[in-house]
Amino acid sequence: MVGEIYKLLVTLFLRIDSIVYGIISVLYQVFIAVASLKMFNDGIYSRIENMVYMIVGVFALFLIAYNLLKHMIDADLSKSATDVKKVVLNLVTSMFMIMLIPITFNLLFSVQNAILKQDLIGKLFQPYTTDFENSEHLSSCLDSRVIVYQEDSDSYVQTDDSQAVNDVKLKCYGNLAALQMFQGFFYPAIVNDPENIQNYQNGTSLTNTLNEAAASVHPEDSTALEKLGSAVKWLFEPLPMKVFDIVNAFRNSDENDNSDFSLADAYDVAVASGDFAIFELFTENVESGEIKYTFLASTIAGGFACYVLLLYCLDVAVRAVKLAFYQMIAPFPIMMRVVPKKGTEIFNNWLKCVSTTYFEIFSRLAILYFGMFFVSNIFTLMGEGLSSKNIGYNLMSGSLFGVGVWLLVKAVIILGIFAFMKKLPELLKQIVPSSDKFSLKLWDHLKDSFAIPAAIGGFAGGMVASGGNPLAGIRAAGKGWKDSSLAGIGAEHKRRLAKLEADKKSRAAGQSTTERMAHRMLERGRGYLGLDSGVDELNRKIDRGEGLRKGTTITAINDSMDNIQLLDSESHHIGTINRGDTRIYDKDTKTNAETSLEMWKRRQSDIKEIANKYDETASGMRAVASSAKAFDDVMESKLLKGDSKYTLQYSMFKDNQGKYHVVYGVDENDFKNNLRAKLNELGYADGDQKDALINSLSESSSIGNLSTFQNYTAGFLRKHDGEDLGNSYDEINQSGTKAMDALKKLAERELILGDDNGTGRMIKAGQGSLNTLINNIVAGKLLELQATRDVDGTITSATLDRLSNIQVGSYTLDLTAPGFESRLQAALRNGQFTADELISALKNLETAATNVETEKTSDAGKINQRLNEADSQVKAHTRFIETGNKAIDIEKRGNVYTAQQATTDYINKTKGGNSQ
Amino acid sequence: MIFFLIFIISFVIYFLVDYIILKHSKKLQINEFKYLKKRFKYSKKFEETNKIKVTCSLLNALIMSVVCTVMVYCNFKVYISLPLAFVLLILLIYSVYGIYGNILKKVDENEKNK
Repeated sequence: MVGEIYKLLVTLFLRIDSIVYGIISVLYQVFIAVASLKMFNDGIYSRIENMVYMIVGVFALFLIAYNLLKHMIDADLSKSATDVKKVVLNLVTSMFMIMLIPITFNLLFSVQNAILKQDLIGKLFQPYTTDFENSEHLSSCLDSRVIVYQEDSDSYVQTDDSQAVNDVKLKCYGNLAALQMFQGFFYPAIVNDPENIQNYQNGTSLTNTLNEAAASVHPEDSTALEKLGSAVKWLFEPLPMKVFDIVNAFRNSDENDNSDFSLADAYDVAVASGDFAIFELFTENVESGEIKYTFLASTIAGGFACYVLLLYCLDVAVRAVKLAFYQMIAPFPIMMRVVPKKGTEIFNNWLKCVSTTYFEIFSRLAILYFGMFFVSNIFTLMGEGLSSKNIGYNLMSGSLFGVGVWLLVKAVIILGIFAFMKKLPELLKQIVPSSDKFSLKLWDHLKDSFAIPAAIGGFAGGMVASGGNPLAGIRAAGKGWKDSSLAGIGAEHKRRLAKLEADKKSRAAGQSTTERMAHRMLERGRGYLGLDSGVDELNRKIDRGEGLRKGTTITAINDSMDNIQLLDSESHHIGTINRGDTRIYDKDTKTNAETSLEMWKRRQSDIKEIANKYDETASGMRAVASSAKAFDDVMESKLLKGDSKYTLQYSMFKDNQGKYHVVYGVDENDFKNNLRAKLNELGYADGDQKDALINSLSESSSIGNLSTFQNYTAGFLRKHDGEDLGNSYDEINQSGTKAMDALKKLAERELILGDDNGTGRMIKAGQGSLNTLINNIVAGKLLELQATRDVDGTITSATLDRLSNIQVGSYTLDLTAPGFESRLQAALRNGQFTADELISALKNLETAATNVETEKTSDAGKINQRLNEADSQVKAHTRFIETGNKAIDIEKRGNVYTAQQATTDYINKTKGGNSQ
Repeated sequence: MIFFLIFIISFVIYFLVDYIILKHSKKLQINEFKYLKKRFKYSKKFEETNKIKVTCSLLNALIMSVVCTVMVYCNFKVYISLPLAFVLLILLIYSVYGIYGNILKKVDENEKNK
């Protein structure tokens, strides 16, 4: 159980590490890619260049022109003629400089790209080959990775192109750095035991090798001597080399993997591809203790390296944008240098910023390479420490430190290098003060580059926090843009809570939702117009000692939008003092208050009236709904039990009070009885009026007629005057599929019916609708194919006649007579055939149509075959004649080849062709 | 379109700068008024007002937008258009402020006569 958990943990952390260390590699490449990024390419830049330069330049020139005119007019300012001369000279110089800006920036970027692509800084720090280049790792990496596409041969080939090799090397350095660090946490356990290392050659015991060699030593046996020599050489090999050998020889023991992969192979793969998941092959070895894997520490160390590299990437990205900005505004500071003192200061600041930003990339790169140099040469730098001669003694136990400890030391040193890389820009800034500070806090880096994401996040967060208010989203986005923070979301959340609280209060004060919303909108409008709030208005009123109505206790409640809601002693809402309300209360207070109260009362009665109406309507609608429910009940109770027919008659009427009532009955008498009872209940007096109403409603009532068949019910609804209101079919089965849908589905099988255009071409009718089918039947578009066939079954003659009738069960449905649809429905209603029989008839139609189509297709095939045969015969005849003519020509020329011979040849060749 | 855009932007910038800088320090005067005072030698009584500030901002915006529009539509190379713009600016500033200065001078004389 414990073993299983341990294995699970190892697998999990190996997976996490593969991601983390993979990210290190990716971030390194991102850094290099972003470093060489130029924000404006020539296409975009040339488009905006003239526009922006012109506008910025004119602004600057305007200031200069003004100052120049001022100096020319003011004798105090233009102390000497040399000042004006200087200004003119500076102006000319500035214009010349503006002309050179695009060229200068292009040149700067070219230099930067050349330095980056040629890896000049890297070469400064790595003039000699690294540990890694000496090893097989990088060579294998380069061998396998530096391939380029060759158009001529349409294939990928290896290349010695220094640029391509350099690009791959750059990528490999990222992978290498990650691997070097990972090695500190993932190594063969045997390297922890220096004594065993001495006795562990290529995975076998050195003692055994020596014994075997000694036992079989013979002057003529070179194998034994070679073994002996190798063992002796091993004894004298330095410890680091032994460690390398052990790593190279170490093989995975994954039962599921038969690749026999060595740890050195895994390192190669990791360096070449950056895929650290390869180490998962060694899970079994970790579990068995053959490989020492310090899992949590490796993840933390990898994460820290990612963090530092991320900071670098962000800095470089910000630098690219800054440089683009400086380039964009260049005409302004350059022109401003014409203006004495302040102008020169502006120009100098701009120049300083540009140069600092431009050279920043090189300092960052230098630091990165400096760190990478340490990382990639870590074994050389630690070589002394790792040698068996100088390896440290543990003072407590007196035993040697294991190599594993040194590998951990290596990992710690790599972390130290990363930490140093992180702090170095700050140290440099202290040595060479600059306006640009490198912060150690991630947020300081993100602040610059996260304004846009913060705005987007603020918008989304604001929307969520405010419950979908887009204005809140915009407010939070604005704050996000300004502060590069998401604090706006919290503010919107607080606003939302405050609003809910205020809503609660105003609800308690008797305000409806509509009123609250209206007030809020009004208040916002007033706020935008800068009018006073309702609070100020109330304060003024209190100052004047005015009451809304003398003798009335008024409670004032401040609502969500700073409106004052006034309530009387019974908590009735008697008025609102809105923000910025300008009503004058001194003279008309009483009138206003009374009017308000009166209006409130009237309004209240209006609302009551509306509410009553609504209630009545609602009860009416409920009656309809209950009627529908009764309808369903009837269906369930009667039809499902097998009743063959059921009639429902119902009507809805409005009484003298405007209230709706629904009455229904199983037949006309039942309906009338129910209606009479209802009218009695409503207080209608007996008499002509009541009778007239009953008769009228009976006549205008609707009759629902339900019929049940074996599997289906069909419902028809029509008025007394015979007008059909609609019909429906319900399939009574467990699936509950409606009969109409079932029939439609049947019709949707692309029923193939003949049309009546006389050509016999088949069309697809219906397109999924029973109505279309019925329409086709009604329109007489169903055609019947009458065919005469020969003994082979081939149609020799065929006629297409209009289909005159279809047989539905025992009922013959005439298709030629008018009123097909109503007759069909009537027959169905009257039980002259069942829905099953109708479906069956339709199916027969479909089958017949399909057969016709099949036959047509089959006949077409046969006809085509005949045509092809005839065609080939015609062609054969033509060729025969041509050949014969040719033969005749030859004969005419006195050759031996006669027409007769040519004919015979042709017949032999064509075999079975008409030899006529 | 460019004309109106630049006109509005430059007007707003000028107006705000004048407003912010000179709001709390009544002793300071806008450059344009200084220039006009020196050029047309107004009497001491005649002082800078908000009306003059707004007018100056409008005139500046007008001058800049005219020059920008002409230059953008001419689409010359930078080394031709910038000197050209400079000359145009000098001419426009001199002439436009000349007209405005004369108007103010008449106002000043009327003030004196009163």
